[in-house]
Amino acid sequence: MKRFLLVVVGLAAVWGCQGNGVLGRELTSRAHQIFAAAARRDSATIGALVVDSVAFTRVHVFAERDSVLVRLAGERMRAKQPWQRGDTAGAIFTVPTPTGEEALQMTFIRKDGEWRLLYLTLANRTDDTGG
Amino acid sequence: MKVCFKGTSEEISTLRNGLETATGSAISLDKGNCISEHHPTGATGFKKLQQILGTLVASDETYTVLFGNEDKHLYSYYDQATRTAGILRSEIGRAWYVGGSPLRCRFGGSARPFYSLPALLGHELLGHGSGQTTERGAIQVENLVHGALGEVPRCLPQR
Repeated sequence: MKRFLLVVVGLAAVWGCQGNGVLGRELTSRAHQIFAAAARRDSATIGALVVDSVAFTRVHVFAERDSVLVRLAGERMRAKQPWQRGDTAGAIFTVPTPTGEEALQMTFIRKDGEWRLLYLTLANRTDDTGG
Repeated sequence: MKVCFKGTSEEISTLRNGLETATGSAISLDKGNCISEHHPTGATGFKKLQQILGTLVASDETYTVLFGNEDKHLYSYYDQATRTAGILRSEIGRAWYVGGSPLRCRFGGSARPFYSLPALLGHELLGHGSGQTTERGAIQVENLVHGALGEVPRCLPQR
């Protein structure tokens, strides 16, 4: 019985890790596309990958404010602990920068079989702005 | 002296309803859209939050609550200089937090719930507005709202 339980738990853990891995790769790939387009100021591509007007504006705001971060995000950002509930998914994306690491929170919604960006913000809120 | 709402009549109504839900209170406004009266509705779990609201309403300062400009801010905020709590509509039902029991939080949290308007008001107005200068302190007040509304508590930042 103990062996059976161990096998079940082991299989569940492997399945869970694989599920997380696939989702993480999907979201990371989509995030790379969005930020690579932002680095090129390619509004048409961004518009096709983003479903919300506030998120669309924020991608452009990030591109204007910090071109280095956006370029690095398009190449190196990685999803951390991605989650999915139905057609919605999200993750914290970490971006290694020359001065350390930046973290972005992103929420995606599945539309026509593809993940599209619904929401984007900085993950680490600062105390002095009372975020 | 006052807690006042700013915005269109729809925005003021939405924010007032959010604060009523966050504090388990019935709130009346005067002609200037400032809180003139607030009474507990009798719902349980809101006592501390009602005390905080009472303290803000009775203080010598004026606090302002509004929907923040999405073009100027990346997330909801509390401006200490103007005592203004700005809530970003884009965060409601879209921004999420890492949540779970204290034990689950030690291992990265078990849930990723979306923010509600009452929880955002709990963090910015009742948390930072009541003098919580750190994120940890504001999250503790926010968690009073989560708890009273049966929502998943937010994990506290590691010390």
